[in-house]
Amino acid sequence: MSYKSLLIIILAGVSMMIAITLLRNKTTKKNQYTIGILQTAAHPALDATVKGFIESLHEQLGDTVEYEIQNAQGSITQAHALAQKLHIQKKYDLFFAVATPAAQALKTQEHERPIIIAAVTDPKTVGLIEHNGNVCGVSDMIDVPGQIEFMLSLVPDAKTVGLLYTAGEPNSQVLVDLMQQELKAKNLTPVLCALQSETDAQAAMELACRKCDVILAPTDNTVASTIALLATIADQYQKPLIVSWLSDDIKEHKGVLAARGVNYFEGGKQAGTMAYQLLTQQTTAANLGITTIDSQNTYIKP
Amino acid sequence: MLEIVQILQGVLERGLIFSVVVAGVYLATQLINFDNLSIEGAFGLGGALTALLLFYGVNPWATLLCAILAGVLSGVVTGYLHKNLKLNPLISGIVMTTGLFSILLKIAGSNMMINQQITIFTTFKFIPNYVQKLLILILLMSLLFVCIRWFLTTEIGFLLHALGDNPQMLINVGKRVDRYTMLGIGLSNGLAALSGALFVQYTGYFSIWASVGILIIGLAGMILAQSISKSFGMGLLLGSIFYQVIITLTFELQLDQSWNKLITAVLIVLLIVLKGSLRKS
Repeated sequence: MSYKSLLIIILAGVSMMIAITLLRNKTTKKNQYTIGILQTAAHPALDATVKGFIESLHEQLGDTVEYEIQNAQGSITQAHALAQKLHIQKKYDLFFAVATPAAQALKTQEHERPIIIAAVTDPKTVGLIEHNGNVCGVSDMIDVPGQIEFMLSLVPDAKTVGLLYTAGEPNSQVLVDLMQQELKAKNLTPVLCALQSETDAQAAMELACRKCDVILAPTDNTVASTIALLATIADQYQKPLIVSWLSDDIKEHKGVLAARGVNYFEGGKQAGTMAYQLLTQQTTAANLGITTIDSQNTYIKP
Repeated sequence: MLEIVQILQGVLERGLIFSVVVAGVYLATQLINFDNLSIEGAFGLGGALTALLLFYGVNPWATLLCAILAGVLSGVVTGYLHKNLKLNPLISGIVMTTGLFSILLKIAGSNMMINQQITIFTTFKFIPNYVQKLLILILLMSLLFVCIRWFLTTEIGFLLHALGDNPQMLINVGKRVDRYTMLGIGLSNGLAALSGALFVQYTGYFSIWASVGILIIGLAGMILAQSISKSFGMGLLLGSIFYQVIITLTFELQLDQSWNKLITAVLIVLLIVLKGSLRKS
């Protein structure tokens, strides 16, 4: 095959892309508002956030909003390409970025239109917040001292506490650092049980069960994905496992002793309210700023 | 219409950045016949180092050089693992990428924002920023590809080529096979690291997860490039750009997002089959 035939294939591909782009623009209904949603990966907590966001906006604005949901499938390169795609289309009134990579990808490109972020624990350290910026949203920061108190109320004689988290997740790192400080202040011994990926979850959890009296997990995407496996192991070793997020599936795992913390669906709803304010009222993203999820719900295994 | 121009520009920019990885994959796989899996680690290494150096205010162009050097070093170590410690090529690559993950965490943490005002893409103050990125990338890639093409015609280049075809020949002319293997993998990883460095400066932040999937981008680009010519050159650039077209197409099709990866896979298979049938006719 020569340059010529490849050129033909490339041209065919490019023209297909152009045709699709044009066609799509024609077929879009004229809605009052259009929102571009960039989700980092398919994941229960993140899905719940998007669901809460859309439901809250639906309650307040009805069918006047059109959504375009893009999912980067966990790839940073793809998140960046999708953010670029959202950024260059003028039809979006605002953007909703779910989890840190999506938020960063959008933030580095879009400097004018408002970006609402959610499921980001510490927006400041990852560089999302600037003076008079265009980012606002809901952080999923948990109340760490409260979390430790809660743990001690359930397991009063705990001495060593296993912290189960993913090395390389900026959100988890922030929480684990805080938890360590808090535990040391209370004269407890924190044991770091870091996993690198979902495949290590079993090994890390078994280590935690052998070495610690109680296992505490911060809000961590990888840990959340493997919760079924972790709960089974906790049950085998008869060790209490306490997680920092609440979702419906938590209650189904008999190994989970308790959960206290954020509800991602509620976080999504709060972000939806922010979107409503931005769309209908004279306010700016800088005014709204970053809030935390209001409800710190608890669930204890009956 | 402006929208399409901007989409194409994004495709071109990403294609150019990843063409460096494609070139790296080509040097390892085609030239010296070594399936280099340490590319992913090297890509991350380049990115992490650039983010850190930019944080300390080092000149953005100098960070690219440092990234290349670090990449070359990682390749030399991979080659050492394979040649001197007798590890299987695939294992030595995997081991390297795995080990580098921890080193990346120590260099730049899991996530690091950089100042977008001082990157190589802001070198020329008088050119508007949106054209500047593409312009600088085109210039840089042309220079890089011409240099590598020239390098492959030198004596060392010929010997590397011979290493892939028939290692015995190197021994016959009194050259050490292990040194040349290390050099080849070093170059391959140096290029991957450069790509990682460019990607960080382009996107404005480093993320430890960015290197996941880079190998696929490199391999797919190279396979597409093979349909044009077996030798080093423009084909690699076009292959990389075309792979980005495919990826962008899957976004633009706006089907259920979960299908994206399958669509990408099917499109690649289709292309390779098409290429085969075109060659026969």
